[in-house]
Amino acid sequence: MKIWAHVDDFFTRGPDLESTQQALRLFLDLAVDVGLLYHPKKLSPPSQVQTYTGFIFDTRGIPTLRIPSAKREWALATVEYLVTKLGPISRLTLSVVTGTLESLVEATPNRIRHTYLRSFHSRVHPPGFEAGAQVYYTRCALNASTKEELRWWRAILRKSIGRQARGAKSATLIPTDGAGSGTGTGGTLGLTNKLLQMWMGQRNPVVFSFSSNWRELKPLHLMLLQLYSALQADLAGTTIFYFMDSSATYWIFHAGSSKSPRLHQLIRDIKMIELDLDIQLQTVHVPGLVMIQQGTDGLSRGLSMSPYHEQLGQLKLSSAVFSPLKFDCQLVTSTISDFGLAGKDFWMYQA
Amino acid sequence: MFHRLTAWFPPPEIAQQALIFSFETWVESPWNTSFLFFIAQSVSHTWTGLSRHIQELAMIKPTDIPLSFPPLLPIPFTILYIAPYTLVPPLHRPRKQVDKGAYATDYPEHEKEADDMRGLSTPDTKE
Repeated sequence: MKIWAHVDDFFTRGPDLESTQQALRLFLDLAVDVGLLYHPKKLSPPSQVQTYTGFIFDTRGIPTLRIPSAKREWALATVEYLVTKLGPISRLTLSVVTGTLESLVEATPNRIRHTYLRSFHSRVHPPGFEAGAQVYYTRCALNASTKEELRWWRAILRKSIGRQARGAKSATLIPTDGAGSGTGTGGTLGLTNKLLQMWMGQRNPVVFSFSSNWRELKPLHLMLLQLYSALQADLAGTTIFYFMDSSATYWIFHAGSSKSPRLHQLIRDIKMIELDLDIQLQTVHVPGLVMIQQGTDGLSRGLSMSPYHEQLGQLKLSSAVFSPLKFDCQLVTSTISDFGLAGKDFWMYQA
Repeated sequence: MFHRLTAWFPPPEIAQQALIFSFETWVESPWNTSFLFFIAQSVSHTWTGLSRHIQELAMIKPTDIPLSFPPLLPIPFTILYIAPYTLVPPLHRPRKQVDKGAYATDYPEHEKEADDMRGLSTPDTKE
């Protein structure tokens, strides 16, 4: 049994009617003990579909979080207005729309959040105005990036969207390393009998100037494009696992956002294909063999190529990377005096 | 740890845990408790944005200053400081508890526009 209490709103979940009703009685008795009185008329009887904290929890099939129609249509109306809006708009108004869309993020596929709200936040809080209310009483024009994000929200809000707890089926994509001079991809396993072609190739010199993170993520984009053309009909409702060996790219994709415009555009493209295919993409970070053998990540790879590698040896070098500074009384006293910190007597901790 | 300045030299991988633990201690007695942290920059700055009370005093290269025990590798280290809390008199906030600078001359227009977007009606401010 699980009970969630959110301020004056609560939600009980159980495997059957009897235990759910028992949990409900227990919670209501506890509420009375602590001085709260819930009106029985405001309670919804046990059901497989419940509304709680502004979302519909639908457990008839695969548990799904949905947005109530009225809420979705209202958000759609605000987005429609902004898409057609010409001229500058109050940042206060823009923050209202941003807040409305943020409140829907939990029920969007894969919780796509900053991928399609990044431009909103940067319009509401331009550089230099991160704090204070003054900025809300100024106006700004919607740029191309914000308009594009608005169009994505309009497209998604026109559908009856929701986020499923899991896919109906799963498949695996075998990755390769995409950061070096070559690139490649793999095939699907466990989905259908149709295996994708494996391929490899040499990068065009035009991408050499692109960041290594972009080059790590690009094979995923190419793979999804191939899936789109080969297996589009078979993929709806599928969770697809993609393995990558770059932890930086993994975290960037996980966050759904990047400060690099080119990388952010690539993430957007991938998310859009994900939406079109109606799949859930799960990225998994798998360190490469060299990293596993070294017991660390890229930091030690960099060090293994440094001049210290010859002098110290790999084991000593790796332990030195993560060893703490030794307690240095002189360093502490000089810091206290240099920065004029309060307190001459100090206590030290040394691991 | 309470009622004094303590200096910490944690291993970098547990620096964030040590910071959070110290910060939870600090809030118990913030008036006269403070912390100094010396953390090697082997890991990312996980403390960024954790709290405005965590100050990054300096980033120092071991080769730049004389140290009693110089580390094996010349990895720079960061000095963080959680200062004793000092009460600051509240700013004069004339209306709605927002910054004074917020009151541009056309603020009613902004309020009206935002209320329209929220689907609310704006009360007449002249009443």
